[in-house]
Amino acid sequence: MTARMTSRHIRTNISTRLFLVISGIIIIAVSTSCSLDWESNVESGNRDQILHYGNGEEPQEIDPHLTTGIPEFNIQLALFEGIVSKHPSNLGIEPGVAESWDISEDQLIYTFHFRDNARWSNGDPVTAHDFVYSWERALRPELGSLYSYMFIYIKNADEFVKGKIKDFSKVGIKALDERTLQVELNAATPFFLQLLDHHSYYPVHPPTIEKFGGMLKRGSQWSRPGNFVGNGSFVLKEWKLNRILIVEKSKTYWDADKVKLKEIYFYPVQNNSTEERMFRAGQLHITSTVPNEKIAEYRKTNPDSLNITPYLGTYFYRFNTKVKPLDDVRVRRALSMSINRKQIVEHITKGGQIPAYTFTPPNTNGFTSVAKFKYDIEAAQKLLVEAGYPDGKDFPNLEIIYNTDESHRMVAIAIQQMWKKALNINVTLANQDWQVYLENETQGNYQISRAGWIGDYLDPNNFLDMLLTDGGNNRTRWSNSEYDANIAAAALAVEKEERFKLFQRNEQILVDESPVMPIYTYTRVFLIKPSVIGWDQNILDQHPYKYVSLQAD
Amino acid sequence: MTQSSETTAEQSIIDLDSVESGTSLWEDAWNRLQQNKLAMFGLYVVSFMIIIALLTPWITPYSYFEQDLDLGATAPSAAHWLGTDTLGRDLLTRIMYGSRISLMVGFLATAVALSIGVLWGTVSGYFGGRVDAFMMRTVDILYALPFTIFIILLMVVFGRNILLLFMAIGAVEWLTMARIVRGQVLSIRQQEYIDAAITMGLPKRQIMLRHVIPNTLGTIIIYVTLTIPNVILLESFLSFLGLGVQPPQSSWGLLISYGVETMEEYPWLLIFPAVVLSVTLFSLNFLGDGLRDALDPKASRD
Repeated sequence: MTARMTSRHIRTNISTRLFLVISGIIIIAVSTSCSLDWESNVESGNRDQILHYGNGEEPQEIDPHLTTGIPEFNIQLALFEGIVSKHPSNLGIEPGVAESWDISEDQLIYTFHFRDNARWSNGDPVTAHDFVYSWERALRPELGSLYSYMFIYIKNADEFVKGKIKDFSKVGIKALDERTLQVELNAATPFFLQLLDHHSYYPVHPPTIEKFGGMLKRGSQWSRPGNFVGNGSFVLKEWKLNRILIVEKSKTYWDADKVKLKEIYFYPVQNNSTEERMFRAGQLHITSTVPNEKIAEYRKTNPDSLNITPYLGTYFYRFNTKVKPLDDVRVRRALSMSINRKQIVEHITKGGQIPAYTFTPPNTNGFTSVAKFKYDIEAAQKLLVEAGYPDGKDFPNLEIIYNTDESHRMVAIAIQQMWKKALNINVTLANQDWQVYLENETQGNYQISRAGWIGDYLDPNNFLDMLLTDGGNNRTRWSNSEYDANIAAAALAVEKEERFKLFQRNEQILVDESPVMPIYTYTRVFLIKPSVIGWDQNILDQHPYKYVSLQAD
Repeated sequence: MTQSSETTAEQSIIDLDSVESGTSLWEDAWNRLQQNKLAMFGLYVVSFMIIIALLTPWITPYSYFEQDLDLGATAPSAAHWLGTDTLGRDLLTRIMYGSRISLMVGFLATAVALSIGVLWGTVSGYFGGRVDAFMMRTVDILYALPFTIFIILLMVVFGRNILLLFMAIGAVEWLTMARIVRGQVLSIRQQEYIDAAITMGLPKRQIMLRHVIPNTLGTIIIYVTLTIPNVILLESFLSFLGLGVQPPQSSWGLLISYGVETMEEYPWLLIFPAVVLSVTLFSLNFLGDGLRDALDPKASRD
């Protein structure tokens, strides 16, 4: 018995030892192979010129005539090119599809001369006819582009959008020949060239659009990988919903020699903390934002990665002016007067944001509004009494919607409490997916919604015309005929002072009517690896990717 | 009896007691439970939590929603024992208010699951045959529904409402309960005393209520103590997804999910709620284990 026991004992001992040795070998082998193979995205990206970009949200669409968001634009900027483009740092106008242009003396007629080597990603030449087709598509009321009001400077475009003119040939957009496009404006528009770099002015490839359901089909398959044809420096390679969108360098792009990046990976990382961890782990070159609570830490320990730069944009809340009790201007003003914007930027967002008391950010192309939103709790309480809700009595429960984001949530909770304290009213919060949130906002299916408006070009008009009656980005269902008339008059005005006077009047109307409640002026806060070259800072935060490259260690 | 009366007075009392008042099933169980230290610890902790939750408004000087933005997040101090969150709200107060929601969800949702599950299981098991087949297939089908999608659907249709949360979780949790009870009832139905009751002409309803259900109680109680932690975790999970309770209210799950966001800067915002949740869940599990052993002496003898 004992002998057998011992022998078994020895055998188990041997097998245990053998097991240990083998597993040891495996562990060593695996760990060494790991350390040999393991390379972070950033390291391999730097070597292979692949940019890993945290893009915040899953894009709603990449069709340039159907989107309104920044995450979408970040991708479109790689996939399309307008007639002109912008210099990466000073935002000056650079040639794009057009290599040169003439402007008539009265500044009403622009003639663009296309370069002969501008190509679609399938090899077709980019022609003036393609632009006529694309802009007709953007303007056709049936398509319902939310940005069609960007075209109102073009002769008869507004009438066409509103359905007063059915014949597109009457609109001031003409292809003189394959490579010459002529645009006729209503009035001298100093920022017209800047508009041409906006995504609503981007061209789409007519044969592809026709192949997948025609000009007016929304949700068409043309913008899917495999089907996609674009004219930008990059072309769509892969799109996995909620995971990744990959673009690769276009071989047919006219300036392909200049493009150094081979691929760009766009990651829709909604969660700020996750994104920051990915950045730290070397998974991302650039993030969309930084968690508010981490800004101070980065300032201290890693200031090279942290970027805080001025950003032309306003963070605000929209009031749906057609639902009770927000249809009452006194209620809207009371709500807007009872939030402490200073506390929000100092204690919640913490990224150097500036409290916003005007809708247009101060000093936008030299314009600063005189009329200001106020912080005055007593006046707010009085207004609420006048509106019939003394001390918040019988005030209906309101809901704030925001797209899922830690910072939006904190701001909303703070505002919820500020209103509770100042006016004794209750609001609930609802976070929604980016696409759901955009849809609800556009449909007017909300009461109060968090919003941000980032400048597309450097002019106060870019902020103020957002609130035009029935403008695709108005979404508050607010309408004021004097306001609309002022915007129209400003578009025709030649003198800067005259335009600014009209804008001043409109800012005053906004303060009086409060369809929106500005909260703060943005700063662009994000993390970037030092190996990214050519990511020049500019106030619109637009970075044409053809100037970007990565430095290998 | 006569023998005992001959002994001394002092002894007689003790002996009389031990003989005359034979211990009931419940007393037996209680005695056995008391011997299980871990289970008693669980019982004390759970009772403590419930008392704190009930008394919260009277024992904390802070409110769970009042913010102090200038203060911001502070580490534990004399004024704020567990520190404050990024909006300057007292964490201890928020944990205590959170316990009200979490425990309420735990108990109410379990109660919903309990009532539906026991009724369904008993009827199904007792009647057997086609009724049983139909009722159990219904359970199977409901089992197959993905839970999260089901809850999200309910939330979309009925809006976010804390009562709905109880109902929704309860409506999902009753399935297992129904199966367990049915199994028990199937075996109880074969017992002689049920035959006796039938022979005596008792109506079915009375047999079920007076003879079947009481005999399944042991199993049910055990399962309940295991369901409560489950449900509290579910609420945490739903709040984590943004489907559960809404700000400024708090629940343990919500506090933890916020804590995760800032765990590097303000670790106390994660640690304290997580500790409280874990301790409570462990306690409930210990209590459940203890009750199982106490109520089912056969199992404990093995």
